[in-house]
Amino acid sequence: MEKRKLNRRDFLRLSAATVTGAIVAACKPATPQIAEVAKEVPAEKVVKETVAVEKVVEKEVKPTEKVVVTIFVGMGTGTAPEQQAVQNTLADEWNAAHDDIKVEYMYVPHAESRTKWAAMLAAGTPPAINMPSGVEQVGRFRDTNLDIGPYLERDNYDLSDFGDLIPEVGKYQGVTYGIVMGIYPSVLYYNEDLFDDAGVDYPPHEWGMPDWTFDALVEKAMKLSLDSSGKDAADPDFNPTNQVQWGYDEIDCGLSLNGVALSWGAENMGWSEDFRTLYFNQKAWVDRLQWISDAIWKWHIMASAEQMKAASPGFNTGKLAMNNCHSWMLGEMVELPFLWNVAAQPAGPTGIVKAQCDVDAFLICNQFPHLDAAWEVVKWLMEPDQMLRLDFTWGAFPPRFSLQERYEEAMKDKYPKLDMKVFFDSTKYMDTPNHESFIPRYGEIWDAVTTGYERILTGQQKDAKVVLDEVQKTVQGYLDEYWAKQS
Amino acid sequence: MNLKPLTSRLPPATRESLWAYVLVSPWVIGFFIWTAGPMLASFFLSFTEYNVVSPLVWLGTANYRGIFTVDPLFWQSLKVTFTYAIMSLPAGLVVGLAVALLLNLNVPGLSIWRAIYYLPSVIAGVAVAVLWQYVLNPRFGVLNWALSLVGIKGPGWLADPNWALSSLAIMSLWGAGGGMILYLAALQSVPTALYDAAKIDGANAWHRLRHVTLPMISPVIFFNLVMGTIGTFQYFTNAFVMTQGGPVNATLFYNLYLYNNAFRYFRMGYASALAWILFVIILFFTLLIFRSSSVWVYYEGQLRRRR
Repeated sequence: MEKRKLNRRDFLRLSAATVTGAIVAACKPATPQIAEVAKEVPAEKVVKETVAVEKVVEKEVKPTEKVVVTIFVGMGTGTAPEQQAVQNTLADEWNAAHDDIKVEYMYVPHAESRTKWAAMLAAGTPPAINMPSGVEQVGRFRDTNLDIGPYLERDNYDLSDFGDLIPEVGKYQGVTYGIVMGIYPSVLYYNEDLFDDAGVDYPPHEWGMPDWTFDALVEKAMKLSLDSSGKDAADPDFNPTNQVQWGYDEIDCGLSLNGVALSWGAENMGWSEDFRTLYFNQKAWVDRLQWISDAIWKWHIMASAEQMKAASPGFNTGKLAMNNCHSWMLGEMVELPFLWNVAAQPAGPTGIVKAQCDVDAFLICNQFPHLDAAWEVVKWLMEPDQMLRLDFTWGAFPPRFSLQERYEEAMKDKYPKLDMKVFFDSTKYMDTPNHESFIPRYGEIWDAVTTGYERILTGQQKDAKVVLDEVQKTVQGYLDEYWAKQS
Repeated sequence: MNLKPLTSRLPPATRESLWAYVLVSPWVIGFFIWTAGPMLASFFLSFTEYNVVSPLVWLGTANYRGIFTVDPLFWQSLKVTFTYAIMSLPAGLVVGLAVALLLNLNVPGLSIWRAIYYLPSVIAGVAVAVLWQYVLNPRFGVLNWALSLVGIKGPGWLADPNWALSSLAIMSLWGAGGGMILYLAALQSVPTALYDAAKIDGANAWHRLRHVTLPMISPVIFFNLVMGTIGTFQYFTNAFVMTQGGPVNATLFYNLYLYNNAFRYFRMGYASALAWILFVIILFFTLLIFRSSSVWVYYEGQLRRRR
């Protein structure tokens, strides 16, 4: 046999062959049945297309051994240790009672959740259920969310306990992808001590009071905004450069321009039904943003970006009299050194009252091979007892009307003086379509709005019309580019 | 498999080569799988629209055309990155060198001073970012407190679009100790005979610095410049933790914008195109620095071609 020295070229060839082999092997689908199911669900890329309702119920892959249903947690709340404990207990209870289906929870930090979700789908190892998940994901992952309509129909599932508005939030383009498991209505938190010190009447707890408007709120808030010498914002000698207390804010609450602008008379959520045209500089939006600008720079009832950075006047600090925020703020409102309560949202200049509402829903991944099993698990979690336990730990309000009394009763231990009715009544004024509804180029569009909002907060521009005209130009450009690539 | 009988039949040179390749193969295989492979994949993806979940769509050069023609944030992120580079890169080099020169003066407790100046550069990036958020707080931050002592009302720093980028540039000096330690090592290896000879020739301190010290440590300056340039164009952590690109996109660094496209907007194809443009930019400036090095970097023992 001829002896031959292994040269560099041979070695590189050998390495390249090895690596190619490894890559080819890695490209093989993890499980054949997952790939088959995935093929059954077309990946629509154009939103305007009607989403075909697949007869997934009939195409179910029959499990031959114990099916593991993974519940992915990260795109909403649910990742805190105490929340994990409750969810894991529910999984244990299910597992103790069922031999054929095993429930497992998977916890992913919120910042990584969408990347992880996408990576798992791309790898052919999709989780079964995404819960709790915000509204944005209903539309964002519409290609891989299961249309649960056939299951609701097959089981004749009764949604009347959820009312008319709440089930709409789980729909996108008319297709039901999810059911709301918990809601986070927005209300007006107020610091009773600051109101008492200023001799100002509390805001009303009843919704729809005719004289409770944003103008009335400004009037109260100015009396509650103080500088270091104790002068309020209504005083001509008030010094805003040395402000120590603010009358109103919407700190860290994710209140969106499209949600709140409904109170200013907005006729749509900011876009046309075919998602081709945006109306971000419509009059209602301009008026609403101008109100924010005036609240900071004219009435001095809201903190500017610099004041926010310097003084951190969050509600819990006792330096803020009223905070417009969702119910999830309740989690931080324990053992505060002042008395507080919640009131109704005021009406906008057009007399309309709207309360932006966040929700957490469940979504089933249509690439999961055992869809019947996943549906059985979510059905069990939707039952009143399980839903109540989940809502307690999430800090959410139950979407089932039949649970309100039990929930209110249980919450009395933690918040004995809190007027829970204000939260429940808020849902009657919730925004539909939801402010978090998905539109193409969602992230960039809302980042552009945030940038415009920052121009107001920093005082770089105080004219809302100028800001929103520029935002409109930018975001319409995003959408035009999106549709150009679709054609 | 027992390799001994097989290898024992090979000539010693072949055997040696084989073992060399076997030992180096983990790195080579790792390079192909974890570096070269993803690089090629990202180059391919840069011509597509890909959101990870849906099938990718071939776009040709549309991503690149879009970046250069219709994307204002691309230009904004480039402007932010270049402005930051112009502010922080020279400042970092000069401060690092200045501190090293001071520490090279045989000061008492040299090792303690060296540790003090070097310590900040070994602290994790996120911890530094959180710390500086307090330092730069407009109301109770140390910086504005120090300015108030001399009667200056400090700006809003990170909350002010006009100051946010400068804040990060000032903060970058915190890591000057990393370069300082290299300068100090280089300074201590400059032969004292050169200084003695220069003194005899009548050179003062400035002349000795200009004509002896700087040429002798120029390879280290070159190294710090190259690494600093690459690091500046890849700036990410502090902006991500402290400002998320705001306010009003004043700190939207190129890498942050790239990250947003990939992991917030799920536009992997577009982000890949951005990554390749960044690669070309960094390559261009690195090559530029390398080409310029023949003029200003002195390597002891290097033979230079006479013109």
